[in-house]
Amino acid sequence: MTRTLIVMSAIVVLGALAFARLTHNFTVLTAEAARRQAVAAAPVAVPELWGIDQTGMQRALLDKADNRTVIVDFIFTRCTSVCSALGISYQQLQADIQEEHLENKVRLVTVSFDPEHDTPAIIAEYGRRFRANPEIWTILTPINSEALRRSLEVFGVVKVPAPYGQFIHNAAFNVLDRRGRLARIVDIGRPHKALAAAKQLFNVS
Amino acid sequence: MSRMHRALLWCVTALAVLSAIPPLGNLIMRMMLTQMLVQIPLLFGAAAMWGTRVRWLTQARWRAWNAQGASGLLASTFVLVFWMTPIALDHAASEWPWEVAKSISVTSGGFVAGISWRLGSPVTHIFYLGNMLWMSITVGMLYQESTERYCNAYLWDDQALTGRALVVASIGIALIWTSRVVGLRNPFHSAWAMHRTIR
Repeated sequence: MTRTLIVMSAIVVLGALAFARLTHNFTVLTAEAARRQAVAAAPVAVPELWGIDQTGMQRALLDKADNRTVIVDFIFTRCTSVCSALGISYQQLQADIQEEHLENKVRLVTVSFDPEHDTPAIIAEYGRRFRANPEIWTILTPINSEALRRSLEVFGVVKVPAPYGQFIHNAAFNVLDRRGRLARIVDIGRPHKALAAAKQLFNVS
Repeated sequence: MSRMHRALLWCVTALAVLSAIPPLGNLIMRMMLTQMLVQIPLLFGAAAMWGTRVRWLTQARWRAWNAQGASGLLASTFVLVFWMTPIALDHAASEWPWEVAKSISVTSGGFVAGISWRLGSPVTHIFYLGNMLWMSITVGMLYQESTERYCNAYLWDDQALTGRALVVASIGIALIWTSRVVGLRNPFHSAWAMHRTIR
């Protein structure tokens, strides 16, 4: 019996260690929560991504000359659910930036992950629909699918094909610091928290 | 071992291997339902069936380390619970090293459970099954009820369906096991035999 108890104790210790490692010391149960925690602890460099914006200009997601922090989201314009909510949140964020005179501190970027459908004309229409001010809010349709794939990987965006030509994806506000590193991931239900994080990152980074 | 049992063993083993390798493996991993309720049970079940056939590991000198099968059943509980957590399922669905680790650990867990089941008394069995089934029912209820998607790799509908299936499967296993303990060899078989007698 003693030998069995020794083995069982070893199993409990090993099992607990495995669980601690899996759940980041018993703090997360989902991959999404783990990703958010990891990014906040150690910001991640974001790859270069070029696209056409809503004004028809070629632009990069990260503008090295631009000193502002960035709130990035990934959408597809055919989306009938979460992306519309994100569009409205961005509209509100744009209004908040103007109201608080943060135009020189924070900017917004929306990236389409469906560039085959989201042509520059459709992106321009999306911008008009949400009254995006190009000085504050850039809407991009990527021009290089490999670069887009790398970006989605780094931002941790997983899109799952769903019925009726839709994608289900993990939407969030991704906040980049002034060095272009992904430093916070904020839930889509909390746009004000994303803006607060962007302001805080502007001051510290 | 009867010819029928041997055929069943090889059939389950073949299905388990097919479920873990492409192309069927890839298809199975596309849904949470098939990963949790087809692939994992097949791998675990096939390995457990092989485990019950290994006699030398139940000899006295090995039994001293696994009295009543307690060590083995505890280890297999940890393995199954590990692969019930959303973060582990998500990793397995998107990263192949995790998928390989899952196949190896679930198979090992099943094999150890098979050996240990033979060593266990009904009390150990009740403790093990009670724990496992209660846990799957709880996880199943959470998956059904949640409005949040727990895995980035899977759809919400799939998650809710997996939750329902986990609850139904757990209750089914509990019923089958209970009926066997009280003397009915197989509830479905018994029901069929009764039906034939009446006719």
